[in-house]
Amino acid sequence: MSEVTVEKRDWQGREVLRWTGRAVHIDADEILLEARFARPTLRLTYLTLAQGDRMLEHYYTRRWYNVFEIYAGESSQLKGWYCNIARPAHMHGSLIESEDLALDLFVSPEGTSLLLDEEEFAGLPLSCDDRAQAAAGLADLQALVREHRPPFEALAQQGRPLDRG
Amino acid sequence: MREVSTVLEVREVRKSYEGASLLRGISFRLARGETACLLGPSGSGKSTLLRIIAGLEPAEAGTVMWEGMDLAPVAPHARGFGLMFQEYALFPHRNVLENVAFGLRMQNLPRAETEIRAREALARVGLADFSQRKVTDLSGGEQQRVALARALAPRPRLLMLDEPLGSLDRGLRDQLLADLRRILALDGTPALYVTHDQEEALAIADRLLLIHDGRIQRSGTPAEVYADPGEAWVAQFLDMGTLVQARVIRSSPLRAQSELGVLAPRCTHTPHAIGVNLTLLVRRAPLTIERTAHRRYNVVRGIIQEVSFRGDSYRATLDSSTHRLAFDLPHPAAPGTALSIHLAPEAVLCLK
Repeated sequence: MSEVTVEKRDWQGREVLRWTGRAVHIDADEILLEARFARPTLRLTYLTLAQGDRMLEHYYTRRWYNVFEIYAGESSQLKGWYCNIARPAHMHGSLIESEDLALDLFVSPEGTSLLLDEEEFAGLPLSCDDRAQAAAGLADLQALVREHRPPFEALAQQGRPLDRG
Repeated sequence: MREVSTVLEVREVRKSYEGASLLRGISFRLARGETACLLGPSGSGKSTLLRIIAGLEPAEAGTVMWEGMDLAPVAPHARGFGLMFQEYALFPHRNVLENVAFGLRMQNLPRAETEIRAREALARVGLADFSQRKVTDLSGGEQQRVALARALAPRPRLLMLDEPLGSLDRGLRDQLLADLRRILALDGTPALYVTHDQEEALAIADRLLLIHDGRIQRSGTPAEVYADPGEAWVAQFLDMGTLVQARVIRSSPLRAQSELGVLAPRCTHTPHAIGVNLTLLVRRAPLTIERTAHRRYNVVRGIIQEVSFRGDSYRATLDSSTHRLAFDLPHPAAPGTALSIHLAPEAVLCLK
């Protein structure tokens, strides 16, 4: 019943990647979906994504970013939040369109942030307005992380040990 | 009066899947505060219909309206409908209260107000004392309640539930169903509930919409549907008794000859001419049982085959030599016993 498709596009609107997930919650501001990482293991210096890792993907219809909460497989072990600076998501029928603006922010379960692909973002021929909105989106995200506001409430649990699954 | 209270109207919705017609003109209305249950076997198109109403799929023809407004141009996220599925995906790293507050976070309420509303929603599902618990420590039924509270907290204008209790065992499901019915009645939230489970549907629904072969075969309150299933398929799907073919031998009062003997069916449609073929339903109950026949109609004779205890009755299979009929008997009967069952007047019904 709840299957939806995500189409990730580049800044020019060209399709880059698509995957399917299940809508968990849909409201005027946000579409929350659950998806599985379906590609072969991806080893990054700050994160390893394995096939079957569970993603709770937050797409916002009025914000310039989306946030993926990443859990190891079936467990409740949080691997971190992968945040993509992107134009506000559009939903048409079961298709969620997200136009990615290259700039990413990774937030570890401990709350450390890593800004990624700044150079690529700087090289995109974006309009002044797009660039300003993206910068404001990033600042907004960083404030949410700092203040442990949704979807980063788990950071407020730093006092208590995070569940390691 | 019904016009005034209609919130959702589905009109002549059609949809095909891989060339085959899946929905063949579905129409129904949902009133404010009403819980309607879409009941049908898997593959009947009920989940597709829910997707169309949610806006996740376009209909090929027909309209879905909310308070008279066509929803076709309205994106799913702008419809203001709440969703709850069997797989409800709670956030493992948020406590119970935070999970419920998720549904409220965008309403720009002060933090204290959000918490009050989330606590109210938790209280409604009977988890008032669970707010600080980790969701990973909860049982399946408790997690389901959290998911329900999350869906209810933002007060959606329509709640859509697709087999939401599918993974729970029977006892837990019955309890949650009773709670859900009470909560929906209290809130006045109109709800569309999709299930393939007859008992679940009877427990939750103000109105049943039985869907089969792309059409709504029967709609009505559970009592109305049980009193008159109308279609043979409905009687079979609801396991109401045994279907028997018969031919009219007298039109008034109606008598029909069947392999079980002469039956006197109740019939709500036009009088039947002699010689017309009918499909009759012989209900499992209510019955009277006697060992000798005094009447010339509505008497079924046979040998008891199997008997199983059903709590308040005994489910027996009677072999009439032409049919195996299921009956609910008030008293136990030993297998091998020859019985004449006198069917009550309301136990034999004319179907379409």
